[in-house]
Amino acid sequence: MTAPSSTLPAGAFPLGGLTTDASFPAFFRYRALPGDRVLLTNLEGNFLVLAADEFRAFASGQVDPGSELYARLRDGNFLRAHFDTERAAEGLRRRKRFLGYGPNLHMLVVTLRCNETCVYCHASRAPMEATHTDMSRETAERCVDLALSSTSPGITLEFQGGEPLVNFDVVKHVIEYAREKNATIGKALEFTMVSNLAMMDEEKLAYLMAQRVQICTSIDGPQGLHDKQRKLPALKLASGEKTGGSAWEAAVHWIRRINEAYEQQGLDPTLYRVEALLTTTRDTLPLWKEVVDQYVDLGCRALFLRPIDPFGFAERTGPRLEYPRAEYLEFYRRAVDYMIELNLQGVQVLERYAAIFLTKILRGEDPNFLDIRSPSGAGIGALAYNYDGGIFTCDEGRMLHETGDDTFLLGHVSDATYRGVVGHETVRALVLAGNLDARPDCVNCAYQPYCGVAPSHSHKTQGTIFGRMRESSVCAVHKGIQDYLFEKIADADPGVMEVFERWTTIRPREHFIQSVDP
Amino acid sequence: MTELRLHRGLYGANAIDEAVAIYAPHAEIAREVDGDHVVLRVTSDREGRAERVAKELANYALGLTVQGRDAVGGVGALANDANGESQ
Amino acid sequence: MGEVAGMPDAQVEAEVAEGRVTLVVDESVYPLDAVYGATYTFIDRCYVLLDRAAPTRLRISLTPKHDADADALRAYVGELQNELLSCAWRSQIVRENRAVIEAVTLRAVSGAMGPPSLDELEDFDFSEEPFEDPLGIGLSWEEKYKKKGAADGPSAAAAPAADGGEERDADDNRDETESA
Repeated sequence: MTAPSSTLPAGAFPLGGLTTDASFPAFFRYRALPGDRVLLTNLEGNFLVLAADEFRAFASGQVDPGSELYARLRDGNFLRAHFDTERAAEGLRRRKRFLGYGPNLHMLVVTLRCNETCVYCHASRAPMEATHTDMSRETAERCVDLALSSTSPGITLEFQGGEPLVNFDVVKHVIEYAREKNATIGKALEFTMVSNLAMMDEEKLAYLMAQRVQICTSIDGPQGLHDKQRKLPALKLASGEKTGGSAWEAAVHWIRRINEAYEQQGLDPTLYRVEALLTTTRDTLPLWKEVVDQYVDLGCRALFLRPIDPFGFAERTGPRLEYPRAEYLEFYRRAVDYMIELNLQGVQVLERYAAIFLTKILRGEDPNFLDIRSPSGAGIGALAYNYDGGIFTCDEGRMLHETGDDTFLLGHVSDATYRGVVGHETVRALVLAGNLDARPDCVNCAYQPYCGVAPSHSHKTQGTIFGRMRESSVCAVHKGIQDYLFEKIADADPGVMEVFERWTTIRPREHFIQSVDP
Repeated sequence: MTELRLHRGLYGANAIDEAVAIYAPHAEIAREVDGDHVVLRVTSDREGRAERVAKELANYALGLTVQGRDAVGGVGALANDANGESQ
Repeated sequence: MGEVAGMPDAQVEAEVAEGRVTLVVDESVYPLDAVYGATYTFIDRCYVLLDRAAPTRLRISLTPKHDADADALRAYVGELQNELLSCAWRSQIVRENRAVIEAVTLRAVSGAMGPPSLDELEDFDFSEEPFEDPLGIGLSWEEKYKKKGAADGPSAAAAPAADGGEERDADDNRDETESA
């Protein structure tokens, strides 16, 4: 007799009355899916979806060796008698390829000054007159020196703020200094700028295009929502011209202009577009369709449905902007269902979370998104440099520093050595804390091969870098998204699976890789 | 006067020494051993100061004790191993 | 002393007027390392005091740094209980998965750091005093267990206890001499 499944928590399977046979299955984890189906995953991240009866037969070792189920289990490396160690090791090696290299992402906060005021400000902004929060050229050079010391063959220098266009001279200096220095080092070097674009002009754009700097911005959805969350003061210039007033208008103008510039350079318009990021607040939730339509209208190929996070100054306004994660997941399902529908009609737009998880699930590879990998990328995949030269394991750690918490501070560029920073005891602790093989709940979770939780989030929300996943909003989101994706995979609709396969295709944007001058 | 009793089996002796040294400038701290406990008697002319110092001192001693344990057998030691620097 | 709603009164007591809540835990359920790990995560929000209530029972007192009513005290002690469970389980998981955790950690950190540069090797101070070795890792088996004919240990810290060769507790690095 088994308990009715409706009394069990999400993902649990009624095992009552089942006599399990430990000698039949190889190591596996499982999670119940709707429709009397069970997901199996194994150490190397292979998965199978079984009907409930098939799962019972598997768990109790009662599968006919001549059956189709037996063949599926054997092919997935789920059977002890046929376990292929070499294959499992190779699968794991492939998934953990990122472990062989040091930080590839280096975030430079070139200033804290920002011309916009956002309700959730993650970045701990400073007002425009706070020029003391500008990074100096000397500090910037030391940041580049450290970044180019990384053991990673590819290095991305990401300009952040504040608003990086406010300190554009230092941005330019970094680009030129890094290119010159890299001439003898030979890394695959890329530059990325995260900007609200309101201070962009044709001269700056021409420079950024010539230097092949990838440009990212923020779009929170339709104009009303975006302008409510991101305030751009209106200014009346001496000439009488009025500027500002609408952050949305500024961003949208420049997104269209930059996309046009890419096309003028002969770049593939399906690949080279301004990347835009969304911050999901309570006000965003009912607007899931409008948000997707906005991104499609702007020609964006990707939409990252990021929930609001507790860093920077966002927590002060958190109660006004926050929402239960169940509501977020409902929003997520609606938005992605709609995106799939659009894709089936020929519109190409992907959701970033889905693409990250699906690449791991369907391709067996890790796209190296630093917050969703195990161990997390803090310190070993990324470093953040504050305007004053402080070095942090991650941008969230840098934001916490601005609120008085130095947990993630690794040193200062003036006297730090690369090995001293990356081998810092804090980094080592984070590697351990960010390893899902060492974390309660995660060790038993069917989604373990595909997941990851940033220790900085657990530290901020739970006071421990190890985190308690049952109380973690990040865990709830990651589980909820993977539940959604695996339900779709289990349904195996050919059209949807074709869309999912396309979302996992990684097309490198080689134009942004700086060539080394001979 | 605030009395703080720190169990000698739970708080490292070095941790207590260091915590007392750190907080000594902020209040009078008298110390004696009573069986399993180190007893700290904290006094100050300023109102509320003794109690605050005693509480902060206890947290500090706990923190140092935890750090001391990590250094020989806990998570910190594992992290050191990874770097090959724990010889 | 008062009961805390929903908590067993033999284990949890609240002194709302004092703004303090006390939890007694059994060391056979929550090993000392788990107690240290869990209570450590509270020292930013609470004043924490550990004591021994009985030979195998520990008393943990939390005094929130800011005003806390009965509900807030209950929330703190509930969170502590969750964290205790998490730490106890994590400790067990780390023990059981030690090989894979070490392999990943080693690869992650060494892969990120790369080999030392010539400058770093040049700066290395080879004349430093021998490192402390409380676990006796640097000792031969004979040295560690004081077998006949073995040489004396290289450092006091590394030497086993003098009284009959009984090993010192690996976790116990405390100076036993009370300097009152």
